[in-house]
Amino acid sequence: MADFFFYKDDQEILNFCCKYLARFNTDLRHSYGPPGSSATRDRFAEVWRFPVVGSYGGGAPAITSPTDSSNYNEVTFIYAGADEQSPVSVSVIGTFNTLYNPLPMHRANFDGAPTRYFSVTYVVPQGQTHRYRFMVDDAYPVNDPINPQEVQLDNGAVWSRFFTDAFTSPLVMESWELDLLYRLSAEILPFQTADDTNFLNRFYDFLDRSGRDNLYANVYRMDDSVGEVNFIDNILAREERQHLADYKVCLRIIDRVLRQRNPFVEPAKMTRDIYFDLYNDMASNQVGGWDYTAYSSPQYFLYLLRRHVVTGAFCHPKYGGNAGAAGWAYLSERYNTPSTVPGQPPATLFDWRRSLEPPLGINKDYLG
Amino acid sequence: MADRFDVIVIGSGAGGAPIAHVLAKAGKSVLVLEKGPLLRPQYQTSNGRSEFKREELLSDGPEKRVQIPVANVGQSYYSSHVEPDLNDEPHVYLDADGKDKATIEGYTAQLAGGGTNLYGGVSFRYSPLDFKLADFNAGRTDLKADPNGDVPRNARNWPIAYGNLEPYYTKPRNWLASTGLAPTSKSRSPKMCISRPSILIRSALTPMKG
Repeated sequence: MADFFFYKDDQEILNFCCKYLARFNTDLRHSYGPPGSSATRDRFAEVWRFPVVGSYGGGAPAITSPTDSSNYNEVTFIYAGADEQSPVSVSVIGTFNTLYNPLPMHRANFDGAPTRYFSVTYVVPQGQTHRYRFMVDDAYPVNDPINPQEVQLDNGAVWSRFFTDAFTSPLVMESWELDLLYRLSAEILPFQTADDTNFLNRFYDFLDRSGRDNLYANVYRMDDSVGEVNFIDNILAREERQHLADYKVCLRIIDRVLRQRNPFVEPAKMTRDIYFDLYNDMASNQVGGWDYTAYSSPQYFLYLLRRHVVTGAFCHPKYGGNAGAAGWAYLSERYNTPSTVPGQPPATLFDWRRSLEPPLGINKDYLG
Repeated sequence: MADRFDVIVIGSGAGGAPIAHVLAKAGKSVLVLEKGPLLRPQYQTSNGRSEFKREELLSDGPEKRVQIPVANVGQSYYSSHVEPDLNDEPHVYLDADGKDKATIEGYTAQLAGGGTNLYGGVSFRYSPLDFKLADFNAGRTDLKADPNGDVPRNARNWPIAYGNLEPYYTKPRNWLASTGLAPTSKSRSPKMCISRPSILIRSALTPMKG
């Protein structure tokens, strides 16, 4: 297993740190949670960036095939010590490695002088989640003081957690919430007409025939969506965890409102008309049966949901939405201009492959 | 690391880098202070991947909220990974309603090289006419979209002329190995200067190494 880790050069580690961890805010400027929190992470911006999950381009001796690169992520663990002398040693343990085997972290230098930042980079397959802890000066393992993601084990213990790109299992939502979200998002996106459903079917059929199984292994839950619900689950677990409470409260209210409007059908199976009516009511902030004491603005939740659904449908697939780039392919086919050459198909106005690196795109000028 | 310098330049962007370059070439010891990271292109990194990551979530990042004591506290904002966080750097302006508000508008890039990392590589010179707009617009009656005479009233002449700036247009043009037409006295159109942005970053860093 040892061959799956390596140490990045100091410059790159310090790049990760300088904008976020290097600041010394004494107040809790970055707390989006309840007041009174005093967690270390509330002093730093964008703590969700840690550990740093990045694209893998080589460096781990165990992975020799260049074609494997796109199936992996580099996960760089960073621990900020008290100062340039203390602690003396830091290591990381986690389920990505053998759990009993601490992985030593290196102290980064700047201009020949030590800094307070320790790091190690481990190469982890995409689509995985793992728990980890730091061992500081060989003491009992502690959670990452920066990364806000935590997971509770069956024995009650809470560990730090991360997940890699294109992760497709629910992280924070329950199955009934996901079912309701499918319906809510499906009525927002343009894939509901017969033509557009036909497009998605053709698109995924084409993917199967092309045999690029490794690239599109994460295409799933594709009945009538492009993975936007999965994206929402991912972003609520990491980048926008401040909105998890909005979803938990509002999905409960929406479930109740829909059941009041039709007591005989499960909300996820109700007709489109009921959803359209609900959206219209939410847009006007006047929803019969809505619990305004629990959540004052259904209008705001509709805005939030629409932003997440649209972002999820058209973001880079590594964020868990736009599976297999189906959202981009839809735009590519939808927006085109007639060909100037007789007999040739129309030219697209949205040639996304040209601007994206392989394997999804064909651009070799940029590898990020 | 030395702790005394002839000159300390704060910021390594299009303003700071040329100044540091000129001073270092003149034999001064120069320290350039830059708060952002030095993001290297893919041909300079060990794994062949650019350190300048695209925020493909959308063009900017996830939602954040203003948390500092300004009038728009609680408001959402979206910043890319090269922009500062408003809760770290408030960036406050006085709004028309007389209240202090924080905004992400107007930031470019917080990186070694500053905004040149996002620079499209096209720089326009002002034309000689641009320095004499008051004279040019005085008494004009042919401005159809200006019913209240705003343009003649507000146009100003600069206290300097194109000729004063011309040497400082030419110098960076040579540094950046840019192309473009040489200015002529007859021409009234701005001159375009096309360059490769990475050169400016490199010139910013050269004095540090030298």
